[in-house]
Amino acid sequence: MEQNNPFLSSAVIVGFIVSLLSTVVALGISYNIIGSEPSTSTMIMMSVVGLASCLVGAFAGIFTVRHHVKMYNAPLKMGRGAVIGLTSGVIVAVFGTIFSLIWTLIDPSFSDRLLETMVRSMESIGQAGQMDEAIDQMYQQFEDQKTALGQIKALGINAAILGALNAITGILGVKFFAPKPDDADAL
Amino acid sequence: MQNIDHHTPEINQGYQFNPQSWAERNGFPGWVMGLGWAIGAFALFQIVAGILAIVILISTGRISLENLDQNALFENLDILFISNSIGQILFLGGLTWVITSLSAKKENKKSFLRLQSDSKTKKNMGLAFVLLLVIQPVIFWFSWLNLQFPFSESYLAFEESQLKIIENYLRSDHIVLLTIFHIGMVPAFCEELLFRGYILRNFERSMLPWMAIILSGLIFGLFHIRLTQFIPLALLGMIMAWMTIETRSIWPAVVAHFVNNAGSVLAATYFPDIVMDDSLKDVMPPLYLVGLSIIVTYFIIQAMKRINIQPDDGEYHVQRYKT
Repeated sequence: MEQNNPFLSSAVIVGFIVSLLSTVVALGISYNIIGSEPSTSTMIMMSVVGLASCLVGAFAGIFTVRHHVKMYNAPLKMGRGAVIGLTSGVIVAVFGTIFSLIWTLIDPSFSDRLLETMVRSMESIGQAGQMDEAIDQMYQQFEDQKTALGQIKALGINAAILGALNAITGILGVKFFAPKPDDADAL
Repeated sequence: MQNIDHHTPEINQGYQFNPQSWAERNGFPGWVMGLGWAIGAFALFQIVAGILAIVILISTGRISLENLDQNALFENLDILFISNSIGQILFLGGLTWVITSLSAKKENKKSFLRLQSDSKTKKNMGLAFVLLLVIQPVIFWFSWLNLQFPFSESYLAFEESQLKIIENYLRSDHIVLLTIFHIGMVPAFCEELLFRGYILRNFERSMLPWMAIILSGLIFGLFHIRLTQFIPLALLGMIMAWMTIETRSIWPAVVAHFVNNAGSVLAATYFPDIVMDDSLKDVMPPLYLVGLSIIVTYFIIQAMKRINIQPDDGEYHVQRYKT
């Protein structure tokens, strides 16, 4: 029979690990960008940062369900998987914000150097004056992210996106890993 | 938190939750269904409406791919309104109706979304109309309060530029009825079906009504992605959610929503110099007016409560809170 066993510890453990991985991937690509020559590919790489960390972060749901199933070996319904996945997604977003704040203490010049590289890349691909507006917006965006309100806004958006993605992967986790009611009874 | 999302049939304001619905069978709590579709509908609506606007603008030759940016979209507000309405009808209205099949059986969909009406509905709609007019000073006060938050200069400039374009459109020679259709009628029905129909009802399955009212109101505020108007919009959302639960019908909230949106269009069209006076934006509305508004609003709310007292209300509440 299906039981509503607690899943917060699984969500925190998996959320922490996945968030750490996602931050490492994002930082790795970002430092690669900082070290590269400004070009169009730099801009493409920049969009890969968000995509890659989002992709890694989206696995939290499926692994949290797996961890939960390993702990209790009880059947799960899809809805429960969605709740577990959503919670782990929000936890990934919270840890992600904490890690990025910690990184600004470890390497305070990181975001400025990244911004500088991106601006130089934009200038290299656009004609003089053509990219001014986009560059101004980017400066403003980076400045906003340094404020408390900017951090809260980013956390909210990340939590919504990762929560929704992980709710889906949580459902997939139930499909892949949760024992069927008959299997659980047999154990 | 009190969980009433159990697996026995429960009578909730005339709607019997069907334990055989897909959501119940698969263990999806109401808040997940509500929140999930709020995010899904928002994403689908924004993406499709945006793409549709671009396709229409390019196919009619108004813009080319080279000069395509956000300003180009806002400079063609008529097309933006059309694509916005199509997106709302398709996703906030149509797809919400389809998605409701996951939470309610086909024959229960109308009552699940509270689309039914009774002998009191007309009176409730009338009171909702008056309530939305009377409460405006309170809404303005919350708008003023919201503006006191420290938004970044760039964000304020961004919102200001969008408002200016809308202002220019409303000052121009536009067809008032068509604008009311796009800004008043379509959102009043489609957004109500989504927020006070689907999301609120699902939230009520997982939490107490007052929590469902607050949470659905906050999501309604966020949905409009206008941070400088978040508090008044959330408050309006909460009032309309309360109205829907109290009257057991979505129609009074539809009227209230329509009055609010269409009223803004009419006021901006016929009194542009007063409504769009920039110097008034940072001025707090007179407190005596806000106080008067609160008092009259209170009496209208009481009148609404009196009209909607049901003979079985006592039994309903006992059943609901016993679980």
